[in-house]
Amino acid sequence: MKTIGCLFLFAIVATVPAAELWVGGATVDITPDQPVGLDGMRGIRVSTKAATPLTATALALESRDGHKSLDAAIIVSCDIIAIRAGIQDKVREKLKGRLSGFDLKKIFLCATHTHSAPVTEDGKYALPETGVMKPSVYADFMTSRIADAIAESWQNRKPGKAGWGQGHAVIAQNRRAVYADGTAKMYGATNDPKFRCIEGYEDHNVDVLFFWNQQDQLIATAINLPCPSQEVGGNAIHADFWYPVYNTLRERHGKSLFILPWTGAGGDVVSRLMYGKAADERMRKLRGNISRIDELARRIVNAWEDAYEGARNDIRADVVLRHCVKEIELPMRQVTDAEVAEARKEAAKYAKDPAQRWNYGWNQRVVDRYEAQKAGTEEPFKMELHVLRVGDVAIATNPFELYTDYGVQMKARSPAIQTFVIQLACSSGGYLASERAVRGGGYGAVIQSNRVGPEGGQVLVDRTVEAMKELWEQPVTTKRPASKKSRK
Amino acid sequence: MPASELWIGSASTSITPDRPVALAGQMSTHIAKKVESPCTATAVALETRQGNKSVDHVIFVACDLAVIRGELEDSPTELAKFLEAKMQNEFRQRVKPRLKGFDLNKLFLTATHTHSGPVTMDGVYVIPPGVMQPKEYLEFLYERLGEIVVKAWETRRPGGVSWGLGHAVVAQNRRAVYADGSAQMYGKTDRPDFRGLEGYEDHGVETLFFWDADKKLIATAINVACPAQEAGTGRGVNADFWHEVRVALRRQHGDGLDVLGWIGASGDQSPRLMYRKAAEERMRKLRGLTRLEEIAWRIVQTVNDVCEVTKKEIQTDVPLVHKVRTIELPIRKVTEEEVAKAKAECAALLEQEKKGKDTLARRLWHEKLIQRHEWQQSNPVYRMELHVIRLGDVAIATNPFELFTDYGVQIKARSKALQTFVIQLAAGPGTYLPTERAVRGAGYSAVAQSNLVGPEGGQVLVERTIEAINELWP
Repeated sequence: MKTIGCLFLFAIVATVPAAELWVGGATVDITPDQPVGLDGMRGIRVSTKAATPLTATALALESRDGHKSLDAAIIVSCDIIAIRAGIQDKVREKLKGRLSGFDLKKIFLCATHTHSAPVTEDGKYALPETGVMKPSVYADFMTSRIADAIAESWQNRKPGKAGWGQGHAVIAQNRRAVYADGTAKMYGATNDPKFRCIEGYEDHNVDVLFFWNQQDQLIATAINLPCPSQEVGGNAIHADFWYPVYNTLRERHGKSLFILPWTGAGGDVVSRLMYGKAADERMRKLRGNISRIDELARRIVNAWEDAYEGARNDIRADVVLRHCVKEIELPMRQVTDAEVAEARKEAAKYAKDPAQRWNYGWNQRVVDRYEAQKAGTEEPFKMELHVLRVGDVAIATNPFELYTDYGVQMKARSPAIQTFVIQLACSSGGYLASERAVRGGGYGAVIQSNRVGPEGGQVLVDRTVEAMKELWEQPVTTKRPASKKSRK
Repeated sequence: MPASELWIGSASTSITPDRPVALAGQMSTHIAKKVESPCTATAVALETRQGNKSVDHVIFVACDLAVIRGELEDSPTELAKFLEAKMQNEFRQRVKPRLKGFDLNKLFLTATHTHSGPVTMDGVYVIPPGVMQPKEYLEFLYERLGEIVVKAWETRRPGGVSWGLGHAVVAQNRRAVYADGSAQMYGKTDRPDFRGLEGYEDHGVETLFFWDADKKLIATAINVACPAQEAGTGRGVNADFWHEVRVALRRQHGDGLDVLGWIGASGDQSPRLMYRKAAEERMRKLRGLTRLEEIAWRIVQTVNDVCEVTKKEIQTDVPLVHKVRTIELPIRKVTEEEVAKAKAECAALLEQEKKGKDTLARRLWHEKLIQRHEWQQSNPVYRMELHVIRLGDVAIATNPFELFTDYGVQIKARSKALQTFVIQLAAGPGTYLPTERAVRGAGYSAVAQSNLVGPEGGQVLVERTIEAINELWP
């Protein structure tokens, strides 16, 4: 019986029809041509110049059985701090009627988290009335450009092939220092005698997707790096370390290569060093005085090349594509009496100073939440969850600065060979701290920073893992990779 | 300070016996009847001279062994017998007549922690006749180590040194933490109650390069914060990933290259993957590499990269200061409750032994705890030999533990040196030294049986090490 059962299963697997993968891409410039307010810091910053262009890149994927579309996705990666509330809806709105046969819910946007890109929400900072592009005006410009990129990527899709691989790059540095009394501090000093450890893990995997056209030319790549790109500060518009990555990969693999940076779960990490700065600086000097972002780009590109070296030995044309979009609800982190008292005090302190609008809002929102909580009118946090299967790869989104531990849980429990977790997608949910981080406190793990807390974080993990498993329930054909002797 | 000249000598040898041998680091007896890859030992001798005057010196010896057992306070108990292998001191005495003008305290041995190297202590395993006994192996080992140490010292010549920092993702934190706060070494990460990996991983690869007067690379010291314990069929002697590292580096830099494998603070690490094993396996297949070759490739890639970049800064006139001191660390006190549990475990294991099961190593693990309970009354501290060296802008600090990574990070973060090399598993008990968070999570490596010294002593170790390092950078 056993043998018959196995043969029967083999027959099913072998007869699943092979789908054809169609791939399209487009990159647009989203750099403003006027000074803008820059997002991501507490204080007001107005851009003085564009040190690099900001871009958005759309990747359109469709699986087809003959003329029948089986499933589709359009993913847009943007050099911006976050996809603030309403931005994704605006893009979808602008695409109505432009993408025939495409379900607009299957579009999602994600952000690289550069801290040198424009503000997109009016009122967040007290920006000058004149001489600075209004955030809503920039948002309108940006969403139009992104909509154009999406339309173009969909229209230029053609039969293609996909591959995937992974490399490693030490980019993420956990930025939370823990001290002898159990407290934690973002960017806390590590040369303090009371310093005990770095709070959490760092995920140094670089997961990469590759797409080729029918002529086996590489046309697009998506790079999932669990670290936000916020090395650059100051008052210039800047795409951060992704800019030299774009340039290097295009120099090596073609000017028209579409590159999508996808930021993985990395709410507690950045690329800024917590120790060993002098050694790093010396090494960069010895390499020809290269900048820190060039050093980071060098590591990312090396990891990408490692992944490419493996993946090009296993290029697939009959790739399964499944895309599930759900709205899920997460419990809000509850505000305690002590927390609201502190927030009230802080909000009052900043209420009348326009330069402190960020700090005022940061605290006042806690007060508002507490009142809704007490009145019983608080809603759970609603989020759009995208989960995709692309061959043996799972892709899962969330709108948070999600602490690394959650990403590790998703990857460890995923049924996929490789799991790409994309944070800062669809919307903007703030930091989602782990339980150990909440115990340590500090910016990034206090109530002001977290709409959703560890309880909600666990729900997010469980719902995401469930959705991934659902996509892996149906058996599919896969080719075994051939062994290659390339490095010995 | 007047200019000084750096003299360098180095040598390597096989420390693989030509007879079947019991393997160290296992919880039961494993006899190796073949050699999967040779275990080796490497010695590098450094001396600074001003004219004919010797200013300071050191001999580093790195061995493909699990541990270099040291000694504890004098004690008649079985515990002391277990810890008193006295390997380093015995070796120093034997080599003493052959190292003229060298202060023997400035020679130290370190282990790579391969779990497929010969046992060096009696009484830990039941070793059948016909298999090389630990005492016999030690004789062989001392002979071989003596040869390379003398050769390294006697062949030292004027040369240069360079140093640099690279990165390789080798260490994997091996302690999984669960929803109830408990932790488990190699615990499953695909469980719904898995919450995270307990601690940090240090992927910095600190490297020293030693050059002869013609700027030919003659030796390198590579500090990786991960023990070499990926291999382990339990059937063959295996030097773990250091063998593949040596083979690859010698292919590029010449057969004469001597490679010191130094393991950084990494009691909570191993190269074994805690998740995404399928993806790693697939990538290795696509690249045509074994896991050991993959690990070695990551190390070699960064070592070569750093070597190329830093050879612009080969220095011949560098300060070499070597401080050796004995420091006292408070031991982790065994509680009554822990003793009671250990006694129950011993009784159960003894029953299994009566039925022919090989549980000796596990039983001794519990028995040591019971003995410690008595021993700690008169021995509240553990005295350890601490070596701290300044070589140019580099600090090197040793400890005899499987030291959890957090302590190494503290030492590096607070050190005044440009780069700090922390070498664990220098001569001593080789027990785990866990962090406070690890003790909270418990599990193997963070329970009392695993720890001669606990977090309190760990912090003292950090403080004394930092003091000693920073004294060298006034």
